Amino acid sequence: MKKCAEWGLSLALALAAASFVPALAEVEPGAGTNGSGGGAALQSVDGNEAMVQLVFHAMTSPATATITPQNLTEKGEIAGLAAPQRTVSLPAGVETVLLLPVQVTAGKENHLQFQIQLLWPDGTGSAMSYYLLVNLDPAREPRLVGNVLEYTAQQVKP
Amino acid sequence: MTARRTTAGRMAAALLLLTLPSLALANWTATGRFVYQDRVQDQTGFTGVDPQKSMRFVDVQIIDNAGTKLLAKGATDANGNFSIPVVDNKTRTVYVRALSQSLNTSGLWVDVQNGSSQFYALASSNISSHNPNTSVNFGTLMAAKGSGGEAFNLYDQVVYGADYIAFLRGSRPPQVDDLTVLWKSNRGVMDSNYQSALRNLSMRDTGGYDDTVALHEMGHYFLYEYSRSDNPAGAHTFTDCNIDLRLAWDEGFGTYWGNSVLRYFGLPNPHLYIRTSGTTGTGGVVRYANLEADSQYTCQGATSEVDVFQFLWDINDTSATADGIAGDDDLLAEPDSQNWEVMRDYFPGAAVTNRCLEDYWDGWFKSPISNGHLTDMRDISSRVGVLYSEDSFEVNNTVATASPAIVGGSVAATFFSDPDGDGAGQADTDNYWLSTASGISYTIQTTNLLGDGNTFLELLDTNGTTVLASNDDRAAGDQSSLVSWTAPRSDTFYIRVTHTADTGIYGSYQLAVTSP
Repeated sequence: MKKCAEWGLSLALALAAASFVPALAEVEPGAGTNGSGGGAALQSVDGNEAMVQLVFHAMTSPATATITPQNLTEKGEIAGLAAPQRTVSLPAGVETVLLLPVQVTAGKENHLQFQIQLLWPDGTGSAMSYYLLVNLDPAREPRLVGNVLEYTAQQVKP
Repeated sequence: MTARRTTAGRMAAALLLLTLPSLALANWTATGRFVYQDRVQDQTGFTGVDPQKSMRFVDVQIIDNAGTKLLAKGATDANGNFSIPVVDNKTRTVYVRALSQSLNTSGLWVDVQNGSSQFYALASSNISSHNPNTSVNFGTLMAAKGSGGEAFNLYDQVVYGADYIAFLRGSRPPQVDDLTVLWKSNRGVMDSNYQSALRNLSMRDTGGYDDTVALHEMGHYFLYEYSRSDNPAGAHTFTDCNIDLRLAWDEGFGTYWGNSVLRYFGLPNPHLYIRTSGTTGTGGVVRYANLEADSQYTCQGATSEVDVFQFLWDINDTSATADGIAGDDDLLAEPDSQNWEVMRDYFPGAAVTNRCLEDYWDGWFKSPISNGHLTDMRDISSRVGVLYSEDSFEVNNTVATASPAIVGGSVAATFFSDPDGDGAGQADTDNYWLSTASGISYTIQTTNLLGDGNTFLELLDTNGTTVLASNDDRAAGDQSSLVSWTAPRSDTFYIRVTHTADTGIYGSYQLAVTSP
């Protein structure tokens, strides 16, 4: 029974600290060499359709982004389009958010990739991609046991 | 808020009290090994090499499947092995699980949660109708990619971080400094961050294998807990050459610190900061930075986080650092303890304000730290446009010691004064004299500001005191200065360049005087 006496103090400190959460946290480095960045997050799933939020930054100059949503195999190979190709304009220096419905397969693990081709005003281009895992296979989800999310271990053969 | 592992610890303790019989000799022993599937990365992203790595120092529980009662607990060792005696007298179905917390490892206070106060576990298959007098070897149990591998990889990274801190400080962070990693595959988080008030390291949904991102954020934790930070926080990018000095310092330090963990433990590609897309296949790099030999980013000076981490990296890397190039590109190979001295003994000082690279520089040289190597430090700093040395015109702090300003020419100057020659700097003012011809117009300007080269330009009359013209910023967002002026007579006038008060005092600029 180690450290029992400290638990209460630690919890109290954590509770007290909660009211001092800074408005801005130390975030990881954003855009890379071409001043572009962003990410993808799952918003909801309804049957075979997932609503995905895509966020784009074009830090230094405006850009046109052509987005190709793709389904990947588990090995990362392209399996097909997950939604029609879309093109959006990205103003410079602001965040652009796009909600995109994409096709997924119920009952299995879905690997989504969003290939993004950026076209800059000077005619040059660059590419980036976002990846998103949408797991609709209950067998691959962790099982909630008490307060613990249990994954099933793979038995490694000697 | 995040319920820290203290809550779960209480629950586990309560379970233990309810279910464990009084102390007695063990009836059986649970043994085995836990590993997780790692994903090796290089500057292209995932290489496709997915080795098994030990789940080091994770809590292990032996569970009665009926009612999920805790029968015994322990922890894995540095190789992921466990051997836990179990006191039991009933035939029952049992299994073993490893948890993403460290309550059973003395002196280690890290955990990984999902953002809703739930821990992760990796569970074995059930052993049905287990005879309490039969020991069980559960074999090697692996958390695969997508099935717990991410959570236990992140756990392993902060264990590395805690052990690097132990190397620097002499012990791992104590309980009052416990660190929680928050991660879940679909939490809706698109950028990783560190929340200092809660000591929460929040990882992006797709960042479960982004080791250097996690360790960069742990670098912030290190600054807050064991040194001091004035970081204003907020968004920042590798491409931005002119971010707040304090932000550039903290972010650059975070990357340096995280990659130093890899260097110290001999892990692959210690010189590469890598953010991946998290893709299931190979590749998927979103951005990377090479701390030793960057060729992607063009910024110069202490307002660039890239330049901060490249400078710091060169202090410690050696010819033995596995950074992809033969030998070392600099003459410095100082132990990490030298940096730690500065961060421990100088940075927290009350006299230090707006903590940034300038303060690191001063702390390095000031007594009693006095780490020295001034020539080599200037060599590596000048490579990234950090010019913390007196220019060739010093001492020109007054009009009496002014340097010549040549019409049609320009001079490279620094805001840096070092009268005692110890390497640490002081604030600086530069004076130049200008020989004019009556009725001729002159344009006097500063350009190429680096670091905190925030200039204020004044043209002084022959008496050296009367200000005839002045300019601070030539335009909004441009801290360089510009004065256009017509000489009323042929005479000697003076140009005074002072540093505009802001967060720092050191920087460099070019002064040019032209006439039609």
